Amino acid sequence: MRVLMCNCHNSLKLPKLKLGPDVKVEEFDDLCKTKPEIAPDEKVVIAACSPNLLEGLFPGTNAEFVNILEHVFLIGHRPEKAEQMINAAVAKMEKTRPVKTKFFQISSRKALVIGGGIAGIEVTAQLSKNGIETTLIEKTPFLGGTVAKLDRLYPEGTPYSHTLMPLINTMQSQKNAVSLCNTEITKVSGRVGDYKIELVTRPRGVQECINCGKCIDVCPVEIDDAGKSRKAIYYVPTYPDMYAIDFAACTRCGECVKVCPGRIDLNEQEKVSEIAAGAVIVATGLLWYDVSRVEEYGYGRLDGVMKTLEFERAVAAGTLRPKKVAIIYCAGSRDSKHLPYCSKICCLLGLKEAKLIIDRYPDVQVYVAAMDMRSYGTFEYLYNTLREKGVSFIKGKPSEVFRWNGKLAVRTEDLFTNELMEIEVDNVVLSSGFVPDVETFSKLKINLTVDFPVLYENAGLSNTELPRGIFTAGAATFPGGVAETLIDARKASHSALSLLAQKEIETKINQAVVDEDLCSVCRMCIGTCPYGAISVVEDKIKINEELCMGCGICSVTCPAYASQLEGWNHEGLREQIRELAQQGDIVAILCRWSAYNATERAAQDKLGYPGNVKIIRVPCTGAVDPSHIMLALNNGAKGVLIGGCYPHACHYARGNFRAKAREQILKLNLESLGMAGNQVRLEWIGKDEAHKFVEIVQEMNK
Amino acid sequence: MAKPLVAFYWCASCGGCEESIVDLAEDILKVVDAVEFKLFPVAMDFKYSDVEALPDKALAVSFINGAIRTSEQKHLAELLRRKSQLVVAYGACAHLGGIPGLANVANRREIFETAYKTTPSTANPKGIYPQTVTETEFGKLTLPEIFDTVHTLDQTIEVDYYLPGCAPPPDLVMKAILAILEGKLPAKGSVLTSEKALCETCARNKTKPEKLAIKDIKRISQVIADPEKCFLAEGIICLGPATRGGCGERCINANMPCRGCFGPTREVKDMGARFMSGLASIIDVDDEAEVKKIAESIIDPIGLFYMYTLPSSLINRKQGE
Repeated sequence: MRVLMCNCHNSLKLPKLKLGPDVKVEEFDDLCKTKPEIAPDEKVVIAACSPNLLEGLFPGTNAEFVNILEHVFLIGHRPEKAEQMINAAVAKMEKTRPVKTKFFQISSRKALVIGGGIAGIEVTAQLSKNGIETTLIEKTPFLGGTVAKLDRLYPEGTPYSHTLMPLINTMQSQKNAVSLCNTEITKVSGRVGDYKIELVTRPRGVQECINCGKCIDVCPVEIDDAGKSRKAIYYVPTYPDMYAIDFAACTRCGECVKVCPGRIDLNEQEKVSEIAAGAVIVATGLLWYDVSRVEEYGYGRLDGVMKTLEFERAVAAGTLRPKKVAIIYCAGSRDSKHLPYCSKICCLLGLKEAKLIIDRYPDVQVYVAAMDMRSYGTFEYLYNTLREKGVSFIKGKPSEVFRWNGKLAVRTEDLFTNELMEIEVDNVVLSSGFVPDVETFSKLKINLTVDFPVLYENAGLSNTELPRGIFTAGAATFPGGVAETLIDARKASHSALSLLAQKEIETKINQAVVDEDLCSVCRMCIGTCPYGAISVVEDKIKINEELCMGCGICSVTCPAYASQLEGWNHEGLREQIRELAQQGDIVAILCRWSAYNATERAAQDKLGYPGNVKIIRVPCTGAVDPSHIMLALNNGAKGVLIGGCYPHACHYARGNFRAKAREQILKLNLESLGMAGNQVRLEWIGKDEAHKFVEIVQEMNK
Repeated sequence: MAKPLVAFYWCASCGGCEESIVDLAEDILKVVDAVEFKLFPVAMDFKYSDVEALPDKALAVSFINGAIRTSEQKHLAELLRRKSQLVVAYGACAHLGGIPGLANVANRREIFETAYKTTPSTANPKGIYPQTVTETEFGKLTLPEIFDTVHTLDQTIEVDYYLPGCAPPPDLVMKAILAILEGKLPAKGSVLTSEKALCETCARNKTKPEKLAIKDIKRISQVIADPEKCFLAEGIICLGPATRGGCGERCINANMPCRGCFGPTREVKDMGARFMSGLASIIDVDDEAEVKKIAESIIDPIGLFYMYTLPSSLINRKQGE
């Protein structure tokens, strides 16, 4: 092991270290400029300035950073403290299990895109243009997704085909792009760069079609397809340019076969195939919430109550001509009984439907009942236009839709006028929210622990090193309009492209590793992972490397220390604390994202605190082990401060709440042993709250 | 060939460990055939002087049960260590401190006050407490000194192996005795049972939901536990995930949650801290006040988390005074 010390342009008087013969000490004048070579498997202690800076200069090294500049010299503490801190860091590194470099071969340069809506089409086009053989699979018989069902796109107001058809054509013109309709994934195995995906292609029932439409004329089955009626054999003018049978509705009467012999096969079998891909892009689009569960609005129970899409299609088809329409916003959204979140685009859909009908029939009276209007960006113009056109906006959440004198009525309050009202209408349109595609994600072994895979996508805000081969694009990430969907699709394409451009990816992100010899599969860790990275596979606990972010919460949860976070394993921290915590000290174990930064701020702002405050940096308060707190106290420390992010601001979602619960139970124990519970304090300290940090340690020091 | 010499001694214990030898049933005959006892206070009449008379290392093995809390126990433990080639800490009290170790929540003064003065059934108006030396007209009477802190056996003498449990189950005892007789012992310092926690073999583990998440903590006395389901999943504290297996799930099979008598797994020093960390982690509440309320609903945390392990834990006794 080496200790690299920096004297910061000869301004720091570095301690003379007395370390064992295996530890080599090197002194630098400016470590940040010299940047000495550190071998990938070498352990080092870097005693210099802020680890936030140095981590960037020495990425992926197995280093313990000792901030002697801000924790000793700038703050005016004695140089002996620097020596102690370095000794403790050396003790930690001696017992630290190094972060293993993980290599993933990109054995397949192909990509699979799931979902043939605009997002999936755009991703396929972008990837295939760049030489990636890309397979696009679509569950239904036609490409186009939700957009193909729409009338017009807003705020621009252009027909859907203006956007969709050029996208489809661009994709189709690429020789590397293959699209398979009626196709779904059944099984996925492998990992980043090397997935094997089993596909099932369900029968289309039609081949060599010339689009004459004779089949439609004879098909006796008529069904409602989201507000528009169609036959069991049907055509959507996107791609492929041929009819398809909706086998869920088809009665197999054979009438179509009679008019089109040889081209229609009612007994076609489904086909199973397997493909390899290095990257998978999930673009499964919008999934509507089942709004019939909002019982008070009567969807499915009361005639005339419709979803936005149904309304749009019926109006566009000319089959619906109401005189009065009420559009109810947040039908099941922002509601603890249904969807607690805001789906973002439903406000715009509601506005769009109002515009759609008013454009066609200016005499229609439209009421929009909304708790809030979230017409972000340029949608505000649309909102203003509709107000000018006489749409009545009611601020309120309707309590009920009911039948009155053969008509529909909406009961609501209006917070603008403070009135209770009952509005009689011909149709009620429910602008409901959207749900994540849990089914596809679970097939891909991605556990969604939040509503949408936003956390999965964005948790790596500061961390792009995850060995990730599954990406999301468009509304599968989060509901969005067409423009946002296309932007998201291009972002996903870029991510997949930069992955597939490599022969092998190498990451040194520290992850939790499970020792199977110690793990009893007690499952306590599973639910504590903010990323759903832990699961039981073949009776063993497995950590999904595509998901683990290295927070260490599971490791501190494990009652057997079977799960350990690389670089922060319990033996290392134990030795560090044993070496560092001395009689009368305050040991401050601080989250690297928040409280730790406050200590550096304290030095920069010249806020002094006593020299007996010993600081240890951890990934998260959720990775602070009660055993280590007890060890510090047992060593004679008079207090232990755990400092982390404020509630709901945790970098790892909920690590700070885990820390809170552990602190509470630990305090009970300490009190039972005659100790003052407040010797241990968990405090929320923001990254700039140097004052708060200093006040707390001073108070603890009294 | 002469039979190996064996001692079986008790320190601060309840006699349950002696009972576990009787529980060997007919296997006990095999043991008696194979070895010669040199000390076994509960069953045979030997004197301490008989042991003192043996040459050093004359005993092949001493099984010592019970925690160490008096000067007599310490003396005997040291004596047996000197006379034995192997010392096995037998049972939870010798291994980890056990139930007598819970005395560490108080100190000697408090314990004397309670035991000899303040309990309702005690009449001691003169406030007489046990003394190590009492002068009487018949001469000097002595009693062993009671220590302020209860210790484990390995805090007192060097221990070669640990047989865990309160009391150790007969199959493990027999296995250990055979291993010693055949010289097929694992690495020194091993605990002679499974390396993994109880959940590994617990039949109820399969009934656990994938994500363990509890919103309140129940005491076993307050509910009728489902005999099939995982206790933790139901909010009843069970130390199974933190406790070494190999016990045969005797408590679980009697529909009682694990209390941890087999002690922690290999990497863990402080079993109570480890378990409370795990338990706190599965409390599925995102509200500070609510977390506090749930934590405070835990009655007797030391008795719960450290029922068998207080003397072996990091903070192993009451602080102050």
